[in-house]
Amino acid sequence: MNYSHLWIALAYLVLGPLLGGLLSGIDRKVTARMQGRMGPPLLQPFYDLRKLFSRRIDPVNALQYPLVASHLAFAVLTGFFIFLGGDLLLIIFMLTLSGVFLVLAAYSTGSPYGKIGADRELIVMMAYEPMVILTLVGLFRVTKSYDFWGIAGSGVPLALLLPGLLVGFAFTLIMKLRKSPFDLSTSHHAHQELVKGLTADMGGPMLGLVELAHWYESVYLYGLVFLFFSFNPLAAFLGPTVVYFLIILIDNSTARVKWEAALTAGWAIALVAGVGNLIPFYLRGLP
Amino acid sequence: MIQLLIFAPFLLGLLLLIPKPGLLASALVVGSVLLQAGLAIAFAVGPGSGFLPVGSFELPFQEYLILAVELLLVVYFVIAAVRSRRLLPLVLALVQGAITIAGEGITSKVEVATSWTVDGLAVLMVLVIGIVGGLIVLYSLGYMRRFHEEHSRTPDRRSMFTAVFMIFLGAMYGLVLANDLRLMLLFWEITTWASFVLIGYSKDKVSEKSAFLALSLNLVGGIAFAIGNLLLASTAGTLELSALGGLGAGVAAIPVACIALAGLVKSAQLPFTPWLLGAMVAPTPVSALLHSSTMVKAGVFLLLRLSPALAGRLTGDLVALVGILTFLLCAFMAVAQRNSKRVLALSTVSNLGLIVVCAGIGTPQLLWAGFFLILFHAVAKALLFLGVGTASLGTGSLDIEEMGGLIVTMPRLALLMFIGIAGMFVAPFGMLISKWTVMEAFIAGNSPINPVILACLAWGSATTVLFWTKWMGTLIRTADPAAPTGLLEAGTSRSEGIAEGLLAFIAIVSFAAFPLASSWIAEPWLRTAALPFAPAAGNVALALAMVSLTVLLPALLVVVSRSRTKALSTAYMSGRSNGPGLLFKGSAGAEKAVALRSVQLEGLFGEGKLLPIGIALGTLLSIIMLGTVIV
Repeated sequence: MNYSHLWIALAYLVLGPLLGGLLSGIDRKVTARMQGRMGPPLLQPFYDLRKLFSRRIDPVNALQYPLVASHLAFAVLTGFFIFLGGDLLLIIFMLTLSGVFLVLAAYSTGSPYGKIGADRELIVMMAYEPMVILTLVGLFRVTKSYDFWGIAGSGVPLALLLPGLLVGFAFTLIMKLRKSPFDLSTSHHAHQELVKGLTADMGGPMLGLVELAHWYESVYLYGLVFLFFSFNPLAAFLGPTVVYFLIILIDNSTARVKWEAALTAGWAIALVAGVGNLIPFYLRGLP
Repeated sequence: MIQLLIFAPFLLGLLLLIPKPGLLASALVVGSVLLQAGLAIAFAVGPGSGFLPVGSFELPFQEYLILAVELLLVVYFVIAAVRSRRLLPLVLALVQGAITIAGEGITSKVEVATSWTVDGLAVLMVLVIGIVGGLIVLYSLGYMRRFHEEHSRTPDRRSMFTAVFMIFLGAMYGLVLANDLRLMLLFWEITTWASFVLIGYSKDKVSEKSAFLALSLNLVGGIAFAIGNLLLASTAGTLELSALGGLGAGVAAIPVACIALAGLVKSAQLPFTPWLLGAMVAPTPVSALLHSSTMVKAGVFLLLRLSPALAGRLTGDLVALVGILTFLLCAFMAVAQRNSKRVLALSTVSNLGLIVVCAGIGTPQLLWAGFFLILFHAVAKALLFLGVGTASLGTGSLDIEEMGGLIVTMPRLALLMFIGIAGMFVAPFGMLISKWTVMEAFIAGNSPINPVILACLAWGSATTVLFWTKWMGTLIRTADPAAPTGLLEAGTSRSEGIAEGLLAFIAIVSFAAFPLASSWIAEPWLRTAALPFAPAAGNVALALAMVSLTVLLPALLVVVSRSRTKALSTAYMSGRSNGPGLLFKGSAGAEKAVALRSVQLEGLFGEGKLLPIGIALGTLLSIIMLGTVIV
């Protein structure tokens, strides 16, 4: 850790939601164009958020708000520690904790719809987590660094050495960002929704907190995609952009799958692309 | 000092046999618990008794004493097996007896210079046994009184129960301090006996069956241990545990594999897991004791002690593979369980598997992780078992579904269990610090089995999150704003409350103060073993920062649970429900109450499916382990 990293981490606290909101705005715009619509203004997510915070809701119980707030807090902290240069594996466990808080908030209401969403969210978490861990294993193994800046500065062409992990990690992003076809727990697409699932009993400012957490998350998740391309400035820009575009494309061209399919897909890709990509680095030693 | 520590619990146990359950007996139990815990703490921190005073004293008539006690145990097992007409335990007990008598001539000739060792690992175990074990005994006072109020047909043998508990603790002290393998085997067999008696406490068919299953498998382990000793005495001429690492692979290979097998049995690794799962029929304090501070911890303790003789050898790799297989499959099986004690049992076996991996590979970093896995698991798991015991007396069921909304009906208990569960899987508490250390050790290592182990770690961790989180979610569910709070809490006895409260406190302290435990106990231990390791300062700082942040959650819940843990309004029901409780309103005024059940994923993770696979693979690995050293 050094001071320039501290400034970047602090900047993330402020600029993270702006960038995340913009990503969300572009997403909606691109989605609309794919569907032959004009789409909302680029800043629409910010208008939506303002509106959410202007509402008032009665929480179902006194646990709900603290739990949702913890979800946001740990999502923010995850990114903060990543950009501060902490050990990525330890931080990713913290990301899990953030997800656990959201699930607990949904469970605590006792709502049947919230519970279905929470169950599905847990299953999806279980589906993508092995791949996320394997991704970090590969990054660590190849660069011998355990933190964001060490890996980014290693100059190793990770996307070329670890293509399986890249594909697998991009795949988990679809799950983690709750994009179709893996938006089982809660979704922006009304046509495939079961009373909003996970967030059934969250409205107004509480839903705003969830949305904000989502923005923070998307920033550092694409930051991790950037690590694969950090060896070359052009690749560093193009790589994450292409991944971002592909995820939107998949989001718009698939329909929600059942949990069995999500679990099978997540685990199969982790086993084949993830473990398969790692084995050579243990059999032949380091490049 | 060592003598006092070991024999005080034995004598106290005999003393506890005398009074009938009542005020005097309770006072005696509390006094005994305090005395043995005090001795343990004094032993660990007292002047002159800290590290490395290696004792070489002998017990009075040591040779005959060992022989007499071991044969007495064999006779006990034989009589028990004959009385309940069970062939397998009978045969195994007789084999055990035959080996003891036949080997006596060989093993008794070996000169042992150092009979006892005290190092950081032993100190940790002494503290865990004394404090965690002691608190469980304390808890059993109130729990067993309520247990017998509910199970009026079970014969009340509480004096015997606590007496065996104390003897169990004494045997554990002996086991963790012994360096002479003959002494260790003696205490090893005493723990087998104690768990046999305790598992069969209720004297009904199911507990008898489970007790004999535990006995049979542990006798297999005991026989392997005895054979190992015999071979070691005859080929290497030594019986010192600390000497094993220095022996050449050729001489030590077979005995080490035999003794490792004994360790695998005791720590209930696959294929031996069923005995520990069966043991869940025993009263909850027994489970708590078996899982946290005694029995299974003896198994992993032995393997960690054996580690210098396992590390870098094929036997060690195979032991590690057994461990990681157990870690993975038991985490999977826990997903499909809704019996709270069984979830805890599977999680125990799973975590022990991780310790076994650490012992099998045996790099300094992994030994450090194994040390902390023992510590954190003992504390968090004891807390959870005690909590489950109290909850089951309150709700009348061990089913996790029946714990729905415990935060309303038993807010204090729900909070304590929350702390326990957090300790088991939430970053950056306890277990997760160790798991993370294990992962990084395998990332850096160069063995070809590393990707296998890493993949199993990744999958096991992912499933662990699922089963703990759904349990937490069940605990904190609120539904009905009209429901009164704390309804079931009144029946909790004082001894349960105190033991649980203290354990939760110890859990939090050990999470927050792990760097101190590392620099005071773990690192000196590794230095004396010539395997120095210390966690990187930056990572410790990061972990501590995360600990302090994450403590906010329980703190928040404390604040909340004091005032209003109940529901404030009802959840959204598609606009169709507004009555008391959650109702689906159908046509013609039909009403259906909401009933929530956790996800089980039985089809994927069912025990019926996975356990046979695990037993088959575990057996295969064990056979290969023995085969490779013999051939």
